[in-house]
Amino acid sequence: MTNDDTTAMRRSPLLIQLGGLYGIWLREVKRAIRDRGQLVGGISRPILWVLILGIGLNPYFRGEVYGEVTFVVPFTYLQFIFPAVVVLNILYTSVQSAVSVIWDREFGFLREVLVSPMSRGMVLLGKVLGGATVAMVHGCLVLLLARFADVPLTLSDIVKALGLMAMLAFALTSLGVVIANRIRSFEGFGVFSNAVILPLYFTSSSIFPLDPALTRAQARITYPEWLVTLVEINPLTYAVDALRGVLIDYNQFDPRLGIAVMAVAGLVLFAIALIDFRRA
Amino acid sequence: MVFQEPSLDDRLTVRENLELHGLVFGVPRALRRKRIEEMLALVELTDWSDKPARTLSSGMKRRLEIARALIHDSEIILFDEPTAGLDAQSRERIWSYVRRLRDERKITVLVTTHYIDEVEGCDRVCVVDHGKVLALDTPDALKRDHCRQVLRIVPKSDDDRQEILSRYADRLEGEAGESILLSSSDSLVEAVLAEYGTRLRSLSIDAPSLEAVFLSLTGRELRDQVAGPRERTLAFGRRGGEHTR
Amino acid sequence: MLTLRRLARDLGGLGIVIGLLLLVSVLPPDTSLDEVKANGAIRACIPTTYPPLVTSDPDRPGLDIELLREVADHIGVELLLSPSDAIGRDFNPRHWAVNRGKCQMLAGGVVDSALTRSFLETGPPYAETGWAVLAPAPIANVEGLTVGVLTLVSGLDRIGLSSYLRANDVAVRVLRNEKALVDGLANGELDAGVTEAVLAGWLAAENGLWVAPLPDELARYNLVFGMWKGDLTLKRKIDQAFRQLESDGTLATVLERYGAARIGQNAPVPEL
Repeated sequence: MTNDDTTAMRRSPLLIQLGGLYGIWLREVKRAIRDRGQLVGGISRPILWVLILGIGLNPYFRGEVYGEVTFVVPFTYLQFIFPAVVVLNILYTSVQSAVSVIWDREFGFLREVLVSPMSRGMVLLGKVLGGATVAMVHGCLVLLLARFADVPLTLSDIVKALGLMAMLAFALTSLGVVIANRIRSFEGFGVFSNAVILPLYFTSSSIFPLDPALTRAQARITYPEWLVTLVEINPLTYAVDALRGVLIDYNQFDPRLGIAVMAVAGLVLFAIALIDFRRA
Repeated sequence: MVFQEPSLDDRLTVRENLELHGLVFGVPRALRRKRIEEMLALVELTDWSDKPARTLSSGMKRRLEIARALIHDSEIILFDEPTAGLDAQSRERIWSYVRRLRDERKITVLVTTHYIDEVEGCDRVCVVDHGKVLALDTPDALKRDHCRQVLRIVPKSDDDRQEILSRYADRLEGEAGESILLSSSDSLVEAVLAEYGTRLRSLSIDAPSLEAVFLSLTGRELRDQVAGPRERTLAFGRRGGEHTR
Repeated sequence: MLTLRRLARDLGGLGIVIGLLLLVSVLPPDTSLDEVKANGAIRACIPTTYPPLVTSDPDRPGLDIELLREVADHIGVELLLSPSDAIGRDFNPRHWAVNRGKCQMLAGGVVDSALTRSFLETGPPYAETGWAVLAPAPIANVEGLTVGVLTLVSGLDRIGLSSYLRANDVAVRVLRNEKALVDGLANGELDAGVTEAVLAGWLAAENGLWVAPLPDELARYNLVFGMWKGDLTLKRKIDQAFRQLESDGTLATVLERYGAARIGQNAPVPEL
């Protein structure tokens, strides 16, 4: 055994960090796959939102007379809400994965990992990447309903959508970690769902459009000003919009804005999470 | 490092828990595989290697954690209350691993515990109270320095009682009911026996124990504290709270 | 071995989820196809005439009409046509009085444009179109000419056309039907005419005129059938019908018969 001992020490530090990164990532993915509760959420959300809400409201958003606009967006409600449900699934799963940081930190594997040779940055990166991967998978579950919602998907659409989803999942998981780091005692996920996820989702222009044909002033006549302002300052609005641009070719804002917002949010949130993490 | 509360991943299998540890601590693949088998055999969990950790009993979990701590090479290993809350069999088993470790792999094993009788076999014992080191020495030295042997005698008659009390006034520790407590040494025991042997109803020697050392060092008051956020979260998890494990 | 079983169990859960979601896709999202089948007929709103898509000749009823019949056959229902004078006549499609009660499909020159999509669901494209210019003899460009414009069925980019014509300093005459265009060219009132490409091709062939598509800066569009937004089941059935028509060669035969094939995607774009 003494011979082995020296070989372990001789590995390059980078290799050790990458191996550990892989280990933590794999753990997150395995845990999520085995968490039946999370899987149930991953399937019930798309079904409820796309199937029930989408179909339920679909007839109220369709044209009855040619030339007459009843829905400001040239899509069915099903198509319109579809990209938003992808975002919703990613949102829930990302935050869920991130929230487990609280438990990991106090009682779980983080305590064990933090005494290892892994650098904290790599531990956090592994955790965030793992959570983001799981969130991506949950987002892809929604994409399975594309045919049902009549969203035509070409290969290039899917690749672009996956890219956006990855950025979004990374940013949201980082956000989850930032919040989790600031919470000392965890007594239920409900508070996250009600205080973070749903408000973000509902004010992201996910379930109703801000008509792009209208000017700012006009939008403020259609909707009360406070609502328009809420939608406009919600960064998630731009992520939903970018994804909508890819999936159903409809943008309310410049699609590059969505990418920029996600990239900046991802980097900033990860940096904050890292600072907190180093301190913790 | 072995923690007081289980820090295993309940949803990973026994083997996956060990794999993760090996990866995080940078143990090369071949060595990792070998060590995992060895350590599973050591803590007698080979048959359970593909069962999720959540299906293990608390004693088995503790054994798994010990196996985990040994996957990578270390010169010192810290056990934070490895036997807390376990049955006698598991405790005995765990201590046998710890002793084997010390002897076979030449590792420094640092153990914290509340079961003071368990540390008798250790090389050095440190008593810590409120973050202050109160004593650090071998068990024998501690007993010698911090705990006196007490002779407990119950004389048959009142006359003898008065006689003993006056004669050994300098050694008197106190009286408890009928018995007289004397700060003792081996020679004193012999002297008392020779002189009063037939006139005593009972005689007993309170041998020094580490428990007595501990109590004499730290006092006897209870240490109550308000539950912090950490305890509240743990309680939530124990109730089966979601998104915990 | 055991680890493999573990893996199978892990992925099994995910597999069940994926299976369930795919199963949901089989559910019909609406009742549009059921309604068509229950009525035993599918109704299509068409303009009264739009050669070669819709003609008044019973032997050659028109490209769109023939395709519609094939589609109706595929669904197994009758085709009912409801021709309307108003279609294509008025700039504002709302005045065509085409609504959900009158017909399930809209045919006869519907193009797949953002404007169409904002009102209608579109079927698969079967021919390409755009603005084309007609003249008695080849012309180098339209600058300074008197041009008759026949817009007919909406959907093509009228705003783009008008700015193009304005930029070329063209005197525009808005025409009401193809007869006015042919007559105008014949009697010299018009130097050239601009209209939808399939119609232009047809008119050129009938009247021995020169035809060319307008340059690329004016977008080219696909000819499609219009359906109501949200009629997903019907749309899927029609898509399926088109795939069938395409694979058994019916589509190519019909296009060939009406000379629309040459305006297809591989047609050379003559220089104007």
